[in-house]
Amino acid sequence: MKRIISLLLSVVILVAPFGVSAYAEANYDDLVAPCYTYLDSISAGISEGVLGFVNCTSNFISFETNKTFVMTCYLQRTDGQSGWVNYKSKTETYTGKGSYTISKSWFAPSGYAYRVYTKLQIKNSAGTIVETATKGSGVYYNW
Amino acid sequence: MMNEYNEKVIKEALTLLREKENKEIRKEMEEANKIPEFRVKEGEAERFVKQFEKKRGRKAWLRAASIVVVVVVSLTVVTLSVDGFREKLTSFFTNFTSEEYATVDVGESDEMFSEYQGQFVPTAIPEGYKVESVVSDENMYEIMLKNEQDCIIVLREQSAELKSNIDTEDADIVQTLEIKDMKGLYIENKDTKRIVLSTDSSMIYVTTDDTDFDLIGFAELIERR
Repeated sequence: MKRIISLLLSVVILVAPFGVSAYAEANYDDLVAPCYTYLDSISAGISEGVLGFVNCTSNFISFETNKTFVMTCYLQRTDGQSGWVNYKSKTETYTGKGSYTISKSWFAPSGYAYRVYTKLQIKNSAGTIVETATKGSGVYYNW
Repeated sequence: MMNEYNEKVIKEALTLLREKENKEIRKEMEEANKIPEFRVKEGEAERFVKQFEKKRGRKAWLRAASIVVVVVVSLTVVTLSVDGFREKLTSFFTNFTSEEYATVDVGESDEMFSEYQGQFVPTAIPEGYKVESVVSDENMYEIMLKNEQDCIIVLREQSAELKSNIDTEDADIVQTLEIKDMKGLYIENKDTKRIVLSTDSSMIYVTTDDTDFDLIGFAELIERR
């Protein structure tokens, strides 16, 4: 029995993987935030989860009663050499005023930096897009 | 070749010696069995042999079990370290729990926020308003109230990880304020009222399209549970 336990511990110590991850804010000069006509606010957030997952949040608030809102929560990533690419996404459609949130946990493999990018399209009753808004979160580093 | 012959001679000699010893033991056993007290009961010798063989077999089994355990643990650790496998294994659980927290409908009880410990909640619901929804995830906690005129009030506490753009264009009033040791801004235009407050580790955002509503008075009622 002692021998089995010793062997188990030896194997786990030898084979166990290591990973390093870190979180930091980033400058978003490349993301323009215009003033809104039909929007109160738009938000994007990313935080470290468990077991290699990240917690992603996209939210908007609007007081417009006769508009349709299509919000997409993108988890984007970069390897540091190329630009941001969409890795995962979730889209929801809403109608009427209120605060609407997409909360999603996605697995984030190491070797990349991640951010959440919220994209919102506001349509009138005819289905025409009358406003588009975007917002990016801070960067989560998982090199 | 001489060595092989000598080996064969020795083996032959040992075999003869064992046969001789077995004969002598057999003879002794027969003599002993004549005395009732020393007679070996029927089947007892066979039982003894079985136990001996079982013990010898258990040692071999333990050895094999050790090898199997080492192989299984190695494979498990290596497999779990593969990103793709971890995603499939845990995505069921994490997606399940995140849906659970996505939206919560609460009633009108005073205990409606009792399970949200550590969050900013209103100590009183404004007259005419009801709690429409509560959203809680790892980046924010938000309560939305609604009245019969379809006006809404949104109270949100968000972590530093949640970044927001708030429309402040055409504001008629923009003033600094302090509520419960939290400094912030009050922004009012013809359609909406907003308050932004900073805590040590989060931001509180309160907004409403009820232009007659005393938003500052409402913000003074919020407390960390």
